[in-house]
Amino acid sequence: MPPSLIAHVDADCFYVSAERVRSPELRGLSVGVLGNQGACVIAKSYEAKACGVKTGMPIWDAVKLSPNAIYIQRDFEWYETLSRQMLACVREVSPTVEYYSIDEFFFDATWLQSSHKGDPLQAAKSLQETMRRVTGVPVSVGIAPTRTLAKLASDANKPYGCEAITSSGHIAKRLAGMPVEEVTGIAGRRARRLRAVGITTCDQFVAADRKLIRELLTVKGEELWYELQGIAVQKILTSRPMHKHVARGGSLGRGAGTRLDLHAWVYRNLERLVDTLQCYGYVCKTLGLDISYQDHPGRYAQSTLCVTTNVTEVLGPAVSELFERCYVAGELGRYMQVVAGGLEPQGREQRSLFDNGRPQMDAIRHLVNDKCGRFAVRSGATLPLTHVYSDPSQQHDICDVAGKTCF
Amino acid sequence: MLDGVIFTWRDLPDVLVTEHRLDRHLFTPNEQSDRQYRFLHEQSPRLIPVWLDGQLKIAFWGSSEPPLPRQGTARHESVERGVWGNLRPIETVVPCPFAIAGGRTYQTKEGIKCLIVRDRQKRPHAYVLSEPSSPYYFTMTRRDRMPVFVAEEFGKA
Repeated sequence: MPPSLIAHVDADCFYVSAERVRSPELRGLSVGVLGNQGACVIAKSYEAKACGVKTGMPIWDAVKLSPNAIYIQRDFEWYETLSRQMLACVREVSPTVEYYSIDEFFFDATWLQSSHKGDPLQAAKSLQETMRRVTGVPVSVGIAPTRTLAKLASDANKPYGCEAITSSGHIAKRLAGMPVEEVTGIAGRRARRLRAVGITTCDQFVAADRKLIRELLTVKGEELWYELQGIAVQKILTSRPMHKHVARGGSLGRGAGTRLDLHAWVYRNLERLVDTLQCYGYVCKTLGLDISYQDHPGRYAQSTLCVTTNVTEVLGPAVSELFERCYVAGELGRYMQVVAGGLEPQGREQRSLFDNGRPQMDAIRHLVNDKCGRFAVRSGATLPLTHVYSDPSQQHDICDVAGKTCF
Repeated sequence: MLDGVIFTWRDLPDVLVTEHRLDRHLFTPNEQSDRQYRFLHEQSPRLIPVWLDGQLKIAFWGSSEPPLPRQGTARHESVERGVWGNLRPIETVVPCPFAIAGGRTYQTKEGIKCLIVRDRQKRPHAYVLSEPSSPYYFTMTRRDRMPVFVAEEFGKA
């Protein structure tokens, strides 16, 4: 039976708020958090937003709009620490919690309101104050019969706002005139399809014929149609569904121009991939490598492994073989992904008849790194990337925050 | 390499502000924020707060009189080679929460390292230590040298 009320907790400009927790002198200042290469604003304070700074904007454009802003290097390890504290706060008030993203949580709010004399708004405010006191991070809270409505409510009340939608009249009021793009799951192409039939607001969306919505936006759109009516169809996921693929990679900063540099990036991303597979308890059957070059078409290669595995002893030689197929001499590599596919839970895989015993390399690596820091022991192939490993912000990425149901 | 350093008003003791007439360095980014003291390399006289003899003091940033170097920076490589030895420098810290380079203001975790050299009147002159920029620092500021930070940050070249 679905919960009668679902709450959505969303931290206000989370990365900036997290930085303000440990650096109070940032309060009131225009602040931008920069991505791993120092080129892009990945989060901004409300003060910077008021100046026109947008997420994803290059720093040289942001500086023109907000010349006195403070720019900060991202620190996902710290953000995860605060995120886990926030998760613990939410788990104090509900046994059914979804860790949606590093700064967003859904939970069954049925019990929450009973602890505040049946007043969900008071319950939401109380949680908000508790989270600010315990973690220092301001959050907005939305409570509604469905996930989609709860998220709309928290988004619409930022910063540090609360809203409890508990009646059909309140739902209608909340949806009236709200652009349909505000709904998570309706953006870009879907919004254009709706616009073509004259649907631009949420109230028009719910008033439309269900079959038309399904025709336009498939079953996913139909789910949103039900959710916006106040009929819960999207569940709270208390554990992360199994991945279809796991990938590690990204931008190569200023680029990798030599064979050694590019191979070093491949091995760095492989080690991160192995860590992730082992963290989630997966083994993989296929391994892929995708490299994009500045002045040359990108290359992708994939191989099926001789065994289903997650150990470096097997994946290392496999990725080196893929590298030979993807490497283009003399070209500047700009982006790459190492992708594990054909995932299975570890322990259920078909074992090899020629198994030579348990590989030790990863176990030894973890033994040292758990005590001395991530990447303290790493492959010698990564030696050309000293500048990357010496940067503390490169130790931990958003995708290393495990257990989130969204990205 | 470094255009300036910023301290919040809480960082500087009143006695220091009065003694060195630092009010002219006051800056208020906006109505909600704390007031700041900005020490820019282009200002005259060029001043910079440093830790010295166990307390925060104001030093000249570089020098306008020979034989001390004019620019307020010292290449870490040259210090390693002993080039500064005859000036008898001591290493200390500019404990600034923020710094400015290439028009970008950024946060520092524990400040930046500098050398202090005394002139004939025994007045302190500060020279911020520099090293080649890490890729991150270069991308952020477009400067090919960066300060030597007290805490490990921004990576290495």
